[in-house]
Amino acid sequence: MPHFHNKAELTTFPFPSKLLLFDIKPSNYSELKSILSALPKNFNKFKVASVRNRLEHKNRVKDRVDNFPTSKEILEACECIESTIKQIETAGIYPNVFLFKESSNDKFNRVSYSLEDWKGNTIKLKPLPQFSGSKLPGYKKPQVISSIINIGESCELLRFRYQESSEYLKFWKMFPRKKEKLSSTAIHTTETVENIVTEGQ
Amino acid sequence: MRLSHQCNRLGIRSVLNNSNQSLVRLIKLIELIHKDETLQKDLEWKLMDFKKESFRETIEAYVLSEEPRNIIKESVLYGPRQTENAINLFNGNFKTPSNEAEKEYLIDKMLWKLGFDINIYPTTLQYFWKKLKSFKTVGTEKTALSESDKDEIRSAAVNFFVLLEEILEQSLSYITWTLLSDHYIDTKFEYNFEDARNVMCNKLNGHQVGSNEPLKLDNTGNNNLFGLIEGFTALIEVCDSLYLEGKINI
Repeated sequence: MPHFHNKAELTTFPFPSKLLLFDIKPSNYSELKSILSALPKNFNKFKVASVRNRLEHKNRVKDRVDNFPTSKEILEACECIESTIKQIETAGIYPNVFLFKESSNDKFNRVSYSLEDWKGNTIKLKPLPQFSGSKLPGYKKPQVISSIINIGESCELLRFRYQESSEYLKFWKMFPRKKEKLSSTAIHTTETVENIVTEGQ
Repeated sequence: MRLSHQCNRLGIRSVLNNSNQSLVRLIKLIELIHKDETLQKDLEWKLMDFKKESFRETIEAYVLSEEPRNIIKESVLYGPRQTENAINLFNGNFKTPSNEAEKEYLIDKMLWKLGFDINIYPTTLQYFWKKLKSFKTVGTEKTALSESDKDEIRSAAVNFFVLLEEILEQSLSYITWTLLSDHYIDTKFEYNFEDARNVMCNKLNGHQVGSNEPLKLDNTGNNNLFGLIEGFTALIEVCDSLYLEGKINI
């Protein structure tokens, strides 16, 4: 728990649990659940996996009948995929990247940030300084924004800083390394091993 | 004044940390490539709506009211001589464009070098929607299917389904990572696909959906459509059981 938790009334710490799942509102969770459960349901209903498999040579002919999917089956599968992915994208279940577009500030110190995605869809964020210290990303950083998960009990949307995968990142993943403090048991173990080696020699 | 050095696919640049010089650099660029009086007159004629007392003032008025991308297009790369003059002023790999796509790339590269931020997005979703459109068109416009029609449908489907799997894998990884991580302590609210995919495999592998085999998702990306679809059901079941048990101190 951060040092400022429960020490001031104006700032709150909205992530007291070890899993975010327990820190989101029940209404957010049920909305998320309904979108997630619709995916396997619809994909099964419109035989998406089956259409895909029957397009391949080896899976097509069964009992000498060509099972190549019909135009109707292809169309239904495509429409199912289209509506499902659209929903996932809009809800922010897919990590769609938003980049800073513009910001404004009024005389009452209300700040508004606009961020946009690859399609030009804009999300307007109007934050209150209630979560300072919670390590949330800055508004000008590339980020993924969840449109259906709020932070704690607020209206503010959950956001994560986006880090692009690269060979460079993979290479430097473990750096900078912190010097590990050896506990007394670890020191003892090391000594024991050395002793055995010495004795063996 | 402190400098930062940055690089991306558009090149390397040095920018001042506490002052954005991009607009001043853009104005200077326009001035430098229009040193020749004839070229200057040509541009002044083009910018007659912004006409002021001097050439410098006209450019300032123009730069302060238009989009930088349009400015480069309309007042830098609008002719062969101007383009050549501009390219000679930049250090790095700058080539005269031979088509519209190359011209767009050159505009991005120049804007980046001048200090403007260029929004570069991951392309998976873009390609996915494009491939879906072409698969849908090919798959539905042919009714009496000959072998060559089937080949055509199949080749459109291959690329499309690869992208669908990619999208589903990214979604499942992201949402599993989001819900089942400690973001304040562990992730520091920083998302990265590889880490998220590891979390997904850790949390969902071995879970049994209905009477099917226990789920086996691969953290190097070797996941098929069926496994990924099952993964969504597994995630809901895992979350539901955690939610019900209220295992807050996991």
